[in-house]
Amino acid sequence: RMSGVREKALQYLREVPRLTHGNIRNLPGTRTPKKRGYGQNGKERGWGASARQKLHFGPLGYESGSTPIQRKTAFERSYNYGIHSVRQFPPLSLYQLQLAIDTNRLDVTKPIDMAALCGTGVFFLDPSKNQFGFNLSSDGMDLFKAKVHLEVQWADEQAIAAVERNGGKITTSYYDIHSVIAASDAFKFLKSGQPIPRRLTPPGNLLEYYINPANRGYLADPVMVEKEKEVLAQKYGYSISDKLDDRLLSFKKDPRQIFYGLEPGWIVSVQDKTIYKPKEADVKQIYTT
Amino acid sequence: MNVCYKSGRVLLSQWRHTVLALPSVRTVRHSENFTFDWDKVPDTYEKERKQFEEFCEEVGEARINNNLKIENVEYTASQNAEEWKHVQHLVDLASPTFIPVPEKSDEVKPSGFYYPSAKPGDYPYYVRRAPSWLFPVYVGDYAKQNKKDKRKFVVTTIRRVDGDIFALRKDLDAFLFERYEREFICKVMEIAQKLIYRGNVEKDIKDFLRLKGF
Repeated sequence: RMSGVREKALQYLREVPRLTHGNIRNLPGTRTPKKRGYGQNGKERGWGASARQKLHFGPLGYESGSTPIQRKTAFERSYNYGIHSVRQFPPLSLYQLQLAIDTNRLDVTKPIDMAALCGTGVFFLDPSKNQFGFNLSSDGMDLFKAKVHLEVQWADEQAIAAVERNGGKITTSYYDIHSVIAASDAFKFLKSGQPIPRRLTPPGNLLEYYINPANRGYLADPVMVEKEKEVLAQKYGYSISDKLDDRLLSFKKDPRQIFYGLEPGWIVSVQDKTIYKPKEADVKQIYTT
Repeated sequence: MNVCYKSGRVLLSQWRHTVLALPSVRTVRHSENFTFDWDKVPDTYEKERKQFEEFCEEVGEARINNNLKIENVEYTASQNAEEWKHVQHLVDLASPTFIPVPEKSDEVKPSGFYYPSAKPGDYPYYVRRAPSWLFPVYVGDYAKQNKKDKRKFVVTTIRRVDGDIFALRKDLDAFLFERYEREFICKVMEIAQKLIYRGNVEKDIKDFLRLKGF
């Protein structure tokens, strides 16, 4: 019986429809690699051994091989100054959301928040890259037909209109980086045995965004939010459904809450299937205020 | 406030600015926002000295005390099924599952997605869906094995083509000629079951596949 490689090669010859340059290789040893000579790679690196040979000079500013100062220092200022510290909200288009719902990756009967989106395995957040959540973009607003209870971190006006047109609910809420770390990989966080942290209030430059009812901010007055809904409906020419959906009303999240149904301060033991809650009042106060 | 990872007990750290003047002191940060204010930084030696003395008075002996006092925080353990439902939901999201299979129906979903209606045998070729149930059409840069070739251009690849790949190439060429009135260079990789077209013709190829029902 022949050896494995030969057998495979002959079987390949039997199966392949035709032989081309792409299928055939030279016999081993017939093609020799080009050997590099000395010259630039030699001892003096092309700069000569004797005084006669050293009559050739390098270009202006040459520093015997190390990068010259006129090349190291940039003429232009940095256009990316502070880019590593800028807060990022990677986009999530309405088309992507609709596609995930159509291919049964997202459950519309449950609320869709950061944990649910990252749990699909199709949308990714990397807190190490300063990504603070999803930015719902209006790409695909015309074909968005799903009725969802959505919680994102940023949304533009037309995306909000597209969601509300179908009778859904959208809120924008702020997750600080430790909350993002917890929510983006919820199971990993639960396994770590840390108490669920409380979500911090947005920093100064973002507070304005989340207080604004036009952005459906979670810190906005609900009465103002309802008003803004009507305004938006009039602007884009659709009617808000009068019947209140009980299912949607039951999904509420406190501004300090990361996960639905789980309060900050609790410690979850996945193995024992128990939740440990602090008893003392002042400990509770720290987590809830 | 520091929490011990293993037992969940609260470690009292007596270095922080104290808020509550209770016997068992819980220390809380002055403000939860991390901001730096140049105005609050003392600019003269006297001011800095004064701030330091105030700090020493406030903190007291704890400043030199190196022993961390581990306090037992009382807790209740609950195995409430209602609450556990929420945890189980998060656990289930992370557990390994198969890619969800879409319903076998003729309707085209709002995003343009549909279950493939064509059967192998309808045409001389068959384009299978990717494991994600989407079209196997990809756009990318052309990467040559020989790195000395500095040419850079965008190509569109159609993968997972079963059957007579040359027939598909012929049909695609005709379809593209109808739309653009020019020919597109195509590389047929019969054994790799893919076609590589020069240019970004992803949308047109997807329209073609939709027409056929793949």
